[in-house]
Amino acid sequence: MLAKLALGNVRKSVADFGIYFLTIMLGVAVFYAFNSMTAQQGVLAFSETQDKMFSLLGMVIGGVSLFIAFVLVFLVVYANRFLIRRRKKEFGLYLMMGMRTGDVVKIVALESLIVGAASLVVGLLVGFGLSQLLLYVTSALFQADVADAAGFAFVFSADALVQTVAVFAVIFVIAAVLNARTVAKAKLIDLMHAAGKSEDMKLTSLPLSLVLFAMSLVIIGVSYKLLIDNGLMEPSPQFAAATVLVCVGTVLFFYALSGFLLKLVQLARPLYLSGLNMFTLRQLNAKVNTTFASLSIVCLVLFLAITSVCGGIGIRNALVSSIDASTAYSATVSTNFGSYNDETGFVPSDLGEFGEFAKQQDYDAVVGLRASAQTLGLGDFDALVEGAAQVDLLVDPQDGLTMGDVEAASGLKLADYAGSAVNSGYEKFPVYVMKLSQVNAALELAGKPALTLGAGECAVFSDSDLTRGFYEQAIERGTSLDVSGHAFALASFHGDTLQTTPIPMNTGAVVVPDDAIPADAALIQTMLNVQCANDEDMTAFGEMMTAVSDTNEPNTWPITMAFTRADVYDQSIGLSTVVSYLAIYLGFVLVVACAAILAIQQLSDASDSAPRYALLRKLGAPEGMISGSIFVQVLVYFLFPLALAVAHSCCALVVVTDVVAVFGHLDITEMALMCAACFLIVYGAYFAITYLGARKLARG
Amino acid sequence: MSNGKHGATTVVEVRSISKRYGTEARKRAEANVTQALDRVSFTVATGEFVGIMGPSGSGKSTLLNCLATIDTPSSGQIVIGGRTITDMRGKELSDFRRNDLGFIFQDANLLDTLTAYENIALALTIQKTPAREIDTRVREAARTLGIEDVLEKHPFQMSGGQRQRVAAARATVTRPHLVLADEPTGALDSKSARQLLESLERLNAQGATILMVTHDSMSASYCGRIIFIKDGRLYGELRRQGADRATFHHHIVGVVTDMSDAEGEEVAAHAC
Repeated sequence: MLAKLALGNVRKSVADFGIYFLTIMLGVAVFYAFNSMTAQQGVLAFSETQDKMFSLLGMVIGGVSLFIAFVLVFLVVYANRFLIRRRKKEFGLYLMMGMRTGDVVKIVALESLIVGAASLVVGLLVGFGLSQLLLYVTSALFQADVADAAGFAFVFSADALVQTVAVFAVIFVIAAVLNARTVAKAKLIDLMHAAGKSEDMKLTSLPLSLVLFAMSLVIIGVSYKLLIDNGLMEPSPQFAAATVLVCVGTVLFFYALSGFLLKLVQLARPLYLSGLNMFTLRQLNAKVNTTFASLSIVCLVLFLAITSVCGGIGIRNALVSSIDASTAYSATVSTNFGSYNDETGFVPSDLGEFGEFAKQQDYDAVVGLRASAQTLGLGDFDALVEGAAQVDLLVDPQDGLTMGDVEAASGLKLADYAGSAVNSGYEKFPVYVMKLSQVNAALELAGKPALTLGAGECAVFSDSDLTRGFYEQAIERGTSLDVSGHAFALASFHGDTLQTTPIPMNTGAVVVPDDAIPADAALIQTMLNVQCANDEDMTAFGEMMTAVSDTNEPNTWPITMAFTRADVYDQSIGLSTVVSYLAIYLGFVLVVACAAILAIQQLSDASDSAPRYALLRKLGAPEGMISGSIFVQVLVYFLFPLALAVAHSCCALVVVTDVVAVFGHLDITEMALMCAACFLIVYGAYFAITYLGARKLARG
Repeated sequence: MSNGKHGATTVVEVRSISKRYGTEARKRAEANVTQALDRVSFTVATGEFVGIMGPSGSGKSTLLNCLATIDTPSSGQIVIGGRTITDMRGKELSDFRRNDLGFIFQDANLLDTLTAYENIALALTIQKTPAREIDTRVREAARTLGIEDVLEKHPFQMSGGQRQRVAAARATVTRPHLVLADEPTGALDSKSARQLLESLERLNAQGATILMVTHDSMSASYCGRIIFIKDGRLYGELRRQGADRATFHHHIVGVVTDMSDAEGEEVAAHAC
């Protein structure tokens, strides 16, 4: 009997439950799809590095899912509160008829169960589809084929299924308990008169709204300026101030928005006195006291979502776009022999016996590695290596060139070019020196034209976006640098990466003729670039280097890092995929959450305002006019938080671009479009459902 | 509002309308059917102030709802301003309500979010009246009803009487063929009720045709003619015919008493 009643209720109020259903369904689908990602390892032919990256992704998603679960709990409870509030009178009626409170609680629980189970099942089905889609996305991104010969595999994760069902079961139980509490605690008289209670009208003065609105714009503007000027590389008082101001400004914006709109339209008399315009605006204004807080939160969360998705995909694009430039060689083996900065001078690394061995080989990596391979019986070094070129990074321990020296010589400030992304104290950072002969050998090995320097000239190599503009300007200004007592005019800038590396991080090294380098120059790092004849040799070379790196045999070459081109591909794509998957997962759930909150709020407003619409109808307002008014109200509620969030994001992304520049060039346009499209589809779906639902509620 | 073609034209013509509620299916005929109105006919001429009286359950609200096009009679016709409203559908109906009818409800039924001025203007903006005309017409209506000083206030800042007069202004500002008032004094104290009724009298004197449903004989005594309804049927009619209000009130009370005494008896004497 109770079950029948509950089922009937659900069927009757499909419109009310619609948003609830959609939200939980999307939540379940996304939750399952992302938590089942690790199952792809079983289906896709991953390399070892990719496998590691994917395990990392699984771990991080597990952590993020915990946060997502909290967001979903909040959403479900919020949605339930709306559903219960709307039906207080109905519950009152049940109690009046002599039904026991326990039975009413059971009805409510059953209803939640029916909708919950339905959305869980549908959500899981959608989730299966979504995870299949993600499989192909991963396969394309990782350039890893489906292991199965047929090229098709169904990916299914029992773990994720159990996890999803468990998490949502807990969420439903929490919601059911809270619902039961609301019903059980309510007094019959309140339930019966729940509909009669209308909100207290509080009037906000319109001129005050105007002043507050102007103030909010000023505050937001100030926070933008603070953020852009100071960036977000490190926590600073300015950054904290910008954060607080942007929040305050946003809250104030939504508090004053409806009053501002009202006043604005009132000034345009013919517009104000046309159709239901004044009703629509007053309607918006009447709700401001209850809605400005949630609108502000929605706006800030949307801002977070947009920024995280744009930033995440941006990092991915930056990593992928730089990959060809940073894999000119089959492999690079690098060894750090020391470090230098303005304060400490040259500090040699403690490489022990390995260091001694390197010294014996006169720091010639080819000789050292050939000997090491022989010692360890790893095969013939020369058989794998077709060509090799070593580049040394050197510094004059007496008077090394630093960033500060370059700034002083050029009269430029790096901060003006690199923005907020530079670390403080960067002036003390060294600018290393490279030998022209070594650089030319490396360029030749990569099949690039050689570099020629005139008398008294030097060139600069940098593969970082941070310093490119700075050096180019310095060259234009005819800057000359002092290298160990000789003045060299900066003649040219080169963006080439002289090694194979996952993340190019050379912010600037100066190339000078070999004879300009002092005899006592300290060796900071050697980079041995090699070309192999084919992929098998490359893989074998990589394994050989790993063996040399891992051994305890003292008479071997020290290796700090060794990367083959394949390693770099795996790692870059792996890392970028992890980052972008996370960004999309988080962004999507946050957008759904925001849209759901707005939808629920609008629907509850529409049901509260049903008598007003009934009156308009009695006064002869045509249905189209009323629908138009509802449309505008819903639109304002969906559009303004989004618009302000986009404005916030644009500002934040200017700063984020600087941060991402550390990884490479941020390609924001294409990704911004893609991101906007995805968001708009989900957001638009919620908008449409809300509008249709609100229209239905307004019909009474 | 003497826009009639020849003298006292007929504005409302109710032709034998009946309204039955409940399942009209064949099974156990009549068992579930309530006859709310039974072949009611009457006419209202331009410029009349007509009262409809009857005890609760007499069907007077059903009659008003049918006139207001909120409800449709089961049979019979209603013609207002020369148009048969019982044949109208959907959009035509809302257009008709908007252009030809004015409503005054028991509880003023103003929009709480709008000021008095806006509530009155709303009736015009729904009609798509040009904005430049609106201000003059709203102020004119407000002057007639003596509510100029509350125009910028919200409903919750006004007294019940003021609210009801704003509603009356809203109902008449569009210059409708017919103003329908449903127990307009029901929720008012006697002083406010008198003020409102005097306002309605004044509107009527200016030409508005008003049809008022009431069960209060004091209110009814402001009308020019009273139509009595009992158990869904026309019980009788009373005309003021120049009598002063006190005398007319006396007559009304007489009929009301007869109506409640004469259980089922035919009292046709009053009908004329």
